[in-house]
Amino acid sequence: MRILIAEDDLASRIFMKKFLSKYGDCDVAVNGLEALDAFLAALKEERPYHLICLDVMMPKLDGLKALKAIRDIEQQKGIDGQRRTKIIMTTALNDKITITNAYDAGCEAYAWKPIEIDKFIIVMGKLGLI
Amino acid sequence: MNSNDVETLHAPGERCNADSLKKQLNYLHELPFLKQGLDATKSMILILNTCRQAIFANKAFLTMVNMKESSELIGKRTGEIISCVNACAAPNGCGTAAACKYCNAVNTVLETMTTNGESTGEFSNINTINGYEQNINLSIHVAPLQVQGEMFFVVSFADNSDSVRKRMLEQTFFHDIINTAGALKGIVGLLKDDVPEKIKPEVEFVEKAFKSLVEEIQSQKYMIDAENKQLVLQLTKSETSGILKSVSKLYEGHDVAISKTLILDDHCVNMHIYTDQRLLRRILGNMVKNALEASDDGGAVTLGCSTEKDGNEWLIFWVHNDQYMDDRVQNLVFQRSFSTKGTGRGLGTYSMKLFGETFLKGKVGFFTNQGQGTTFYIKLPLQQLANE
Repeated sequence: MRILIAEDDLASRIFMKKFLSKYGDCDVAVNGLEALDAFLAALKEERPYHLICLDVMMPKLDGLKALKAIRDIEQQKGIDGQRRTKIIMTTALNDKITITNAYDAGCEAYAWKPIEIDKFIIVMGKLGLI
Repeated sequence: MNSNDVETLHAPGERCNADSLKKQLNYLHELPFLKQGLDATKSMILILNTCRQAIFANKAFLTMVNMKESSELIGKRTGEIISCVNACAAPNGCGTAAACKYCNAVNTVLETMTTNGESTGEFSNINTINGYEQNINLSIHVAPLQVQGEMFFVVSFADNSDSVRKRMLEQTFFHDIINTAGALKGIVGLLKDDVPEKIKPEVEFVEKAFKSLVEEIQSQKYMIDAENKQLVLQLTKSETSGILKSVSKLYEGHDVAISKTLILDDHCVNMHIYTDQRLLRRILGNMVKNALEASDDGGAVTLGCSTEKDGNEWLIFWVHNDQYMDDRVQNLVFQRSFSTKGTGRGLGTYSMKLFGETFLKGKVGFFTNQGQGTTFYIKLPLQQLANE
């Protein structure tokens, strides 16, 4: 499995990479723009990511905007249904508007920080990733 | 009114001429109690004409802008009075520069002019006071006022800089600290299995310390979110025994449990429920912590759950110790900031009610008597717990 972790907080990045490395090859991005570049590069290589973990609050391009951009690109390229990359939003914010917007923009799941490993594994299982 | 085309990038730029202004001032002078009434209030009030020029300011407003008399600001617009940095960015003053499109001080007034109804907004503004740029946050309320057939606008301001700063601080502080502390807790948890046996106890201690730290931060965040009505419920399926065990585990090694015993009742009802475990664990955790703190050395605290029927069916989680609560404590125990442990404490019992009743739709209460001690409980409707 190819995994992209987009996270601006260093400690969170280290934690997510250490945790998710058990399940696949992890790349990291420190902002939404880098995440979008990595997503496009993976598509170009025809080795798309199976899972992208997108932090909501990130510099340059926030997680919600990156999510919308990824879904737009997939739509333009005719990537739909199960072929779409699974996206789990991660955030320390839990306001209703952000959550609603994330689901409207097409994320598969939403994980509140601090990430609970057991719950995260269950969600990956439900998404058919493991 | 000078109705020539006046250059603007947002609101109309034309102003009333001196004669019109004089006439408008006379209208107000003819309303004998207006000035006395508005001066008697602590709200900062301006009255504007249809060109958004001030024709009156009450004492509180004059104090805010360091002026002595209304005459100093007659004919000026709000931004010009409060020395907004954009008020001189365009030749026709406040409201006409490009940046004014995003200014709620202008837009709220324009809204009332369009709808003829009241409107409310919040604006942040950079103004120059004594040569230094300062940021102010004001809330603004605009109401139309008709005098002798002419429209005016009563604009009241309240300084909400403190609440805006508090809101920003809360959001940034909690976001950043939960991010980092939560991740550190996770890293230590993952490292625990990799470290040599020799340093395992220290790593376990660090993990436990991070867990407590994160719990404490989250509990503050939940409460602020709950008070701001922004708390989002996370309903998940769980077992009552699992919830009780996790609460018991959290406190059995806690400082407050030293020389005391925490007992999990043998007759607990075990069933699957759909609830927000974070909140329920928080409520029970506070009950256990308070009961342990109130107990004497050697005392015991019992934690359990049972069901009850009284027309409705209830699931009851309860925490008991053998201490009696006196009459004063009984009457004040759920008040915010009431504590038997000194000032600056007392959010635990208050948050039990807030989370348990407002969010989990249950009932939080207690029984106390001198012979048997005190039992705090939360009753949750079973029917509600059965729904996903």
